[in-house]
Amino acid sequence: MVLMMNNKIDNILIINLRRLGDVFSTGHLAESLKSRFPSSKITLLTYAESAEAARALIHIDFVQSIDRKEIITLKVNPLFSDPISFEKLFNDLKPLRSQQWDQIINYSNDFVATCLTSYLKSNDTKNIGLSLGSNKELEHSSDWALYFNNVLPSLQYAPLNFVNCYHEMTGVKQVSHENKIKTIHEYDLVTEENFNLIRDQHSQKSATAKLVGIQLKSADLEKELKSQVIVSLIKEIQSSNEFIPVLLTAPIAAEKVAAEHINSQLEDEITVIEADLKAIHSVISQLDIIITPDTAIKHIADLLNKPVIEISLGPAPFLKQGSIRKNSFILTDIISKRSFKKSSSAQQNSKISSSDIYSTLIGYFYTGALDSIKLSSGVTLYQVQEDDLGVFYKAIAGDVDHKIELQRALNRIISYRVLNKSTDSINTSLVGKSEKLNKNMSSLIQDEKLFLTEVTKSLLGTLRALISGKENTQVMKEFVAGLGKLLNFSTQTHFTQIPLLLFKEKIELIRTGNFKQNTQEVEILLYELKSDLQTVLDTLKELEGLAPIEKSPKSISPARGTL
Amino acid sequence: MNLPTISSYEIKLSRTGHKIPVVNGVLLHSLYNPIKEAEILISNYSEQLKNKREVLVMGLGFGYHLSQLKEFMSKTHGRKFKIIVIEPSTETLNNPENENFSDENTLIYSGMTALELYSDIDFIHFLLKKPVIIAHPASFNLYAEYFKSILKFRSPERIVDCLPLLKNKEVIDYFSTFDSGLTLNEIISTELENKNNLQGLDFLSLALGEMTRKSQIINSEKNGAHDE
Repeated sequence: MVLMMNNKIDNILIINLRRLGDVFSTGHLAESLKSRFPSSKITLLTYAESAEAARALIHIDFVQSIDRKEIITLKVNPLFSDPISFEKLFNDLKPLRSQQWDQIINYSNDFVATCLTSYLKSNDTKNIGLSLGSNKELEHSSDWALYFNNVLPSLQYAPLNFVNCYHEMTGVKQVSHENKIKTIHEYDLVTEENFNLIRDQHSQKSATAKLVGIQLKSADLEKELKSQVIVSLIKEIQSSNEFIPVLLTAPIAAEKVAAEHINSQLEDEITVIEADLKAIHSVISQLDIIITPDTAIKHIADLLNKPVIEISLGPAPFLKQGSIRKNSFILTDIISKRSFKKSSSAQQNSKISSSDIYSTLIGYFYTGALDSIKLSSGVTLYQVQEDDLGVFYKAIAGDVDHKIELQRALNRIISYRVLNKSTDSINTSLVGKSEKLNKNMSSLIQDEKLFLTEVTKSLLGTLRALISGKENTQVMKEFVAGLGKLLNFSTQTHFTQIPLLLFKEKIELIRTGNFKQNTQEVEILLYELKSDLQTVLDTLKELEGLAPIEKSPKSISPARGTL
Repeated sequence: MNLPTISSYEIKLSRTGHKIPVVNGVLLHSLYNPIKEAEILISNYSEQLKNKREVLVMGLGFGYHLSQLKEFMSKTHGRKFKIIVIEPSTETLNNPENENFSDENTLIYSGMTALELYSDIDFIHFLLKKPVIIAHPASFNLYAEYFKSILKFRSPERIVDCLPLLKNKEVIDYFSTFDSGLTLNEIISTELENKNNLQGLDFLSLALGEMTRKSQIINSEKNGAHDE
């Protein structure tokens, strides 16, 4: 990580116009920023529907919101003049416009947030993420911003979690203390009282029985567990003396109906806890573990340092935005069978069973239980782990596509090495030590080296054509063809994909006026790519022998290349 | 649409002893029992009114229906409700025989054209809450064109026509830099598209354009859910 050395950061604005869960997850970055800049004030700009979530974050000092619903109504409804909607937006942002921001972090990186970043910044403001230049070109604050916005979406299996990316973009080290979210004392007391009542009602169970919160609904039907699975799960949990299940719902009709439906199949024996956004934090803080699909509940649990068993279904992007609390779990169908895309049908064909979830629950609380865990065919259990690079999802049980897992682990290392120009040793625990894995790894490394050689040849040919063809039209044609071939390589899923995608994005960002300047820019980028490919090669060699690599100085001179 | 013209105005007495305005020859309330008439009118809306705290009333007359409405709303919602009445005739509103209905829960807009109404930001905010709309039948029929102009109002689109509706000087100055015949959509999609040096409020225009382009994604039913 390239850490920010500037200590004078007093006024920070984070713009996050995404949904509830994403707004909650801002809490991690906010804590790290406060740790790095203790005297800073952090303001979070959200849409009004997420403002309550934002206000609950401990390290956010001020919340400003945009009433998107009203602005859109004013804009699209023919009763109202369009400029009134503009004035409304202007007024919503007025308190922010009057301030001098030392740093604006475009957290959501969507076009609206990108425009607002440009609107609110001054000449002295440091932007993080995307902004829009006066010439309407998108500007990336760093290679990490380019990676996050342009490279990560192109990778089939994301090697990095978003929270890690945000920290790298911002240049602050991720810290993690106990709680990052506020609870309301009055609700804490009510929750405690209610939970004591629940325990009393289950006095036949162990005195140390764990309260297990089960979140029923998600905003997206595709992400939800089928009700039969939930019913079976609850029956298994109920049958144990060590666990007390409770259902978690929001105070809206659809969730109440769902809870009633589930409970009706359980002789109405299960306690349903209905909590709004103010009260849910208190509830989660006093549960022992939470089982949830991909919902805001998962993010709240992370912020409260509560263990989660996340059931990742449908388009839920767990590799990018899964639970990040260390030792939480994620259950998923084997990722080689998942597309992570929204489909037109809400039908799920998930193989995750209630027994898989229950076994994971046992595995969390009982030492050794994970070693013998048996999951349904086609199901993988990931554990959230941490190392110096940040959070990582390690497949620890069930059906595992070792090749994909290896690729993810190595892509992660390569991402950090290419972007941070670091040469830290590889965390071999993430790569794995099984014989099967080693066999996979050897064959993978060989394939990768072959492909790397092909790419490198293409790169060197392109570079040669560029250097020698500056006076020769025919040779310049060879250069252009070579460049095209290099860019095409970026679509292929190899370890070279990350440096190639970065190269491709940077090529597309070249905006200089004339051909000569453009070719100079391209030449610099080619040398940069050469250096990055060297990094890939060094990493592959290190994996082969797991020997420490020599530090390769960052250089744009071809004479120092070892390829 | 201009305000309707009052050519004749008199007061009659109902069989129940209540005063009834007669405007342009039209009785604004029942000559037999205006209270009963008002009760029936409000009862027709009772289901809607139970679920809504905001009500827009078209036509005041002498307010018998308004009194019934306020009573119903007080019983149903306590003190937490808001009624706005639109009455084109200031003569009716200011008639000394008429009660003063304005209070913390009731506001009367009188003698205002549709454009003036839709320029009032408080009125706009009230409409955004999607109030129950109650048309006082006699008033609505008497001033049909006026009330239709309100219900079918189409706001001006050209910048030159919108500027009087704005309050903020910086916003007014910004829009004044563009050709007055343009609409905001044209500014966003064409003017800014061709502009080489974006500054300040230009970015806000682009943000607004993008925000509303995706407006179909908003689902108000998700409010309150613990969703992603």
